[in-house]
Amino acid sequence: MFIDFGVLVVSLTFVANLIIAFLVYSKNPRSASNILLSLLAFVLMSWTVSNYLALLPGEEGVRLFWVRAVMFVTSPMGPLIYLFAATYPDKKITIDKNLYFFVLLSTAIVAGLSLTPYVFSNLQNLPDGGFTLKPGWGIVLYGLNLMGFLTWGFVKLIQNYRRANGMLRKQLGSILWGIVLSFSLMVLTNFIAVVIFNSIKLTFLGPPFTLIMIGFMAYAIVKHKFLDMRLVIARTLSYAFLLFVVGLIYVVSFYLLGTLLQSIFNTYAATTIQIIITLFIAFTFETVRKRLEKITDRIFFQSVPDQDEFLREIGDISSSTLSPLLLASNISRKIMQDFHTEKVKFIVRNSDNNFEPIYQNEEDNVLNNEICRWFVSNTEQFFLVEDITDENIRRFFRDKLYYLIIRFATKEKLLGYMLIGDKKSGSDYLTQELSLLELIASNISVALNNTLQFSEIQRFNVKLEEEVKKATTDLRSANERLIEMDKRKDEFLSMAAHELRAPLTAIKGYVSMILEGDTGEVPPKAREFLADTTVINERLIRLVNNMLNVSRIEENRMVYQLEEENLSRIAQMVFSVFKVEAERKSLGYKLEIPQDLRDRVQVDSDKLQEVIGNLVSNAIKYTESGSITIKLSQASEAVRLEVIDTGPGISKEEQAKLFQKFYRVESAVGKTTGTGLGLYISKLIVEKFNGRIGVESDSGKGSRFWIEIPLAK
Amino acid sequence: MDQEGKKVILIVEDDPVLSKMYTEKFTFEGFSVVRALDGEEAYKVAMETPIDVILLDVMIPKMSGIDFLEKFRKEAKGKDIVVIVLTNLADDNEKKRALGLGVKEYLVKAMQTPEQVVTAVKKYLN
Repeated sequence: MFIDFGVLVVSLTFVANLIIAFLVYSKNPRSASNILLSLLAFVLMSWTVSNYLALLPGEEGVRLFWVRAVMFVTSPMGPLIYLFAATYPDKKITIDKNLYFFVLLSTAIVAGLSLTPYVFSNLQNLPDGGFTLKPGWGIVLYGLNLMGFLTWGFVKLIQNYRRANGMLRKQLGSILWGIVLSFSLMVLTNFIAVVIFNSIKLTFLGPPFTLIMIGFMAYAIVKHKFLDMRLVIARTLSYAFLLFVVGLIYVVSFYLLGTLLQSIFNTYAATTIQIIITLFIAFTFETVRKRLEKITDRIFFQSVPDQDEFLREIGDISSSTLSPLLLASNISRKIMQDFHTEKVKFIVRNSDNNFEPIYQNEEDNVLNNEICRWFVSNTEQFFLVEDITDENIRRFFRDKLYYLIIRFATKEKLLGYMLIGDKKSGSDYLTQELSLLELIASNISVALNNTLQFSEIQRFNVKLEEEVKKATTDLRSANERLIEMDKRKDEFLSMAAHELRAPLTAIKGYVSMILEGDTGEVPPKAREFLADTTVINERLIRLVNNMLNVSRIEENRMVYQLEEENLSRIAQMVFSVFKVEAERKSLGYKLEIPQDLRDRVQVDSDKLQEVIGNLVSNAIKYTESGSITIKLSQASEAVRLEVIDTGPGISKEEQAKLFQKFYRVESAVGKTTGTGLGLYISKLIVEKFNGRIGVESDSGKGSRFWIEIPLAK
Repeated sequence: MDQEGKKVILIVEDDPVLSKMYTEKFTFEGFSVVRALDGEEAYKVAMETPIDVILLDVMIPKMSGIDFLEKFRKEAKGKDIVVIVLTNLADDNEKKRALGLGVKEYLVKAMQTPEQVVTAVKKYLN
């Protein structure tokens, strides 16, 4: 009874360890963590067998052999625990080379010694079925090797547990409990009890204690994604279930059909039935297996996206939007959906060493300063987190459960990164999935660059618009101020001119009255002085008029009193006004009016008087000697008035600029009096009467200023 | 026309120097001159005295020349009287209003000698 139950437990332990060894290894044959654990399970498995065989009643020699086998097989146990503790969760053994060598050496020595009499020298059977052992000095080395490394392993595990956070911490917690509990107990019952108390009574408990460790491991696998083995377990379970079902079908159908056919046919039926059923199962096995696999796939989220479709869809997304935010979110969501990832974070670089997430489905504070600096210095475009050489960075990302990193960049600059998390199922990404993601990396880089540039342009546009708006507003208000100023200037000029006119009128009037004899006889000298006064006063009046005209013209307020007039009459008036001045300069001065001249025009006589006066005054001013002639003549449907002088003349270049505002001739005469408005205003006025104004002249040949006014209809 | 057979001219001008000047001139030319220094005075004088012609400045205090004219034209006395505007302002609106009120001429002071003003007045009186 004792043994039977024992057999069951032993078998269970054996199978459990075997399964663990197999599954853990096949999950990731290249990972040191997996290899170590698998080896440990293998060791335990072997130990289970040899322990059982040693406990079986038999010859002393045989039993001793199996005891030695036990010692041999368990010599790597401590070291393996230590190595596992020092390595997990990394995929490579990273302890010091010398230390590693020491571990291996220790194991080898102890293993070797185990087979010699130096560890256990003698075994003696006892009447109750057990036995006693006589240990040699080798047992000390064995003990050191076992307990030393075991303790060291525990310490390491505890250290790692304290340092870890997140999922890793939880995993280590479970593993810690499992290993510490089971191995402590195992050491107690199978080593301490045996060597110190010389009792093998509890040694049968040893192997089953491993189930404690396996139990905690299983919990860690399912609850905390230990070794990412959830899917493997699921698949294995489904496969086991499948085999069970198949077996069941086989047995049941064999039995039923067998009894049925047996009653009809002879004993050959048994074999025939077996063949039929076997064939049936052989044919249907694959289908059922596939069906079951599909179901577990769906449950455990392991379906691979179709390559072409995926690429096409990514291409569509890349070209569908110019917004970086939309691009990031669509791509990220597609990846999460198709690859069943837990999380994705899409980050862009915004200035120098700063990154910001433009899409994330989980806030996890990945972007600290150290990580950002690393992002900048890194140049790998596509890599797994587990392949990161910097241990701290790697641990950091693993803690946050990121699996894969893609870098987006153009030839000139770094654009950003996409951090892809573990799959929801916890398993690794398949090679084809990884290559698919690698393929789209450059695509996304280009699309990202486009969207970033576009939003850059948009920002620039907005800014530009703002600047333009601001500038326009500024200009507008500046313009308004200018207009205001101009208006005020005009108002001032008008006011000033108006104010100036009154006194000028008085001077003009009184002087005129005296000269007309209203006050009596005027002595010649007085007459002369008064004549000069008149001339100078007229100039002042003209000046004031010009000032008024300018502002009025600009404001378009020029008032024209158009009436029918004889041009000759106006010419006569002007002629008489300037007589004195011309005579004072001893210039010849005449007015020529042909007979039968048709000179009826529609003009504002005051204004026209100003114009002609301007021409005559200029002529007198610029002519030092010779004569001034005012000549009227007939033009076609118009009357022509010319002011001809014998002055220095005007060059062709200057002629072109003459009638411009503020232009004054740089003449040899030197004195540049006058505002330079005269000819400009004259032109405006003459054109108002539909007339024309011009000059014929050449340097040194005098000038001939002319105006032509169309005859009144 | 006054007792002596002289034509009566009302000179409406607020500048005392100019007022004197035109008064001197017209007196010398054989007119009988009455003066007003502002619009209200102009109206008062115009209503009280028989006038033949008015020489009217526009920019005068209390009531502008045009306003006075408007008011005066409504009176029986004022309907047909010859008015010549003599001003240093050449404002389009004022001019329009003036011509609309039957002003014979709109002269700019600074452009005319007193002699020329007299000529213009005499022209319209005959």
